[in-house]
Amino acid sequence: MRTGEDRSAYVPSSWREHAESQIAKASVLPPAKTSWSPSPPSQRTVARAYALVKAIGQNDLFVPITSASPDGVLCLEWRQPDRKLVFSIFEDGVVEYYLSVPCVEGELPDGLEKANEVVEMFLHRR
Amino acid sequence: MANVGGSGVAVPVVPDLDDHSVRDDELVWHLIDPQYYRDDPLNSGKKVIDSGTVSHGKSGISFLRPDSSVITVSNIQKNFPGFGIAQLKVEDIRKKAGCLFAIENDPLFSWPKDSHVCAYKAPKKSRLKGWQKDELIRLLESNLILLPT
Repeated sequence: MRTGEDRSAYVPSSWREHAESQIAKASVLPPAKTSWSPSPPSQRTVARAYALVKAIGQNDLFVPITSASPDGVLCLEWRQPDRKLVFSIFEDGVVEYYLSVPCVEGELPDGLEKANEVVEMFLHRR
Repeated sequence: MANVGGSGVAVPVVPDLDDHSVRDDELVWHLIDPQYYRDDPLNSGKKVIDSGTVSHGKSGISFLRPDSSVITVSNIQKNFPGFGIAQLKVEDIRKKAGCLFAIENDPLFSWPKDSHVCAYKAPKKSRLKGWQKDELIRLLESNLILLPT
């Protein structure tokens, strides 16, 4: 039975597929024509972004906003009315996280597993 | 060079990398590429600006210093069709978002001399932290004078 409610954003794993498709789109962006436009991220950035998505074990996240900065930094962003979680993936392979409530930020260690702790905090499970 | 404080401990002198010829009482424009402007994923009916527009690696966050002849709304509409404009106070960018300014050439457009400025994390001209980008997004979203289309 249809309820009229769009539940697609909550289907397990759909956020991951969505994020991967957005990363793939960002990787083939044309070079930016302005200093305010997204630029294609480097291959290393793209590889780290895929690794980050793979490292996040939670299936019940909603879909993120994915965007590339004017100099190719890739951002995965989740917004709630009262808080925001952003992962930024840089050309040098560094992945930084920012959680607005509680305000915590830092750099993920190479293995990226810590991303799960941050996501759990965002989901108010910790 | 280091100063010696009252306790005898050397206090490093931090050079002031902020260009104060960009005055606190000035207004600056950040152009919003429509690719960064999208429906709120929370279905609030509002539009939101992606973090990507204020994220950066080596280059800074671009702003323009509007004038009465070249950097005008009509010229932005002509040269950057579909782009929006957020107009911010320099003081807010410095004090609320913790940024410094540097006058730099725009590698992709020829603006009048000293009209293109870049914001970086103060005081070391490094890349912005998450809270600073969050504050900039808040400022951009609440100070749009031309909506991206």
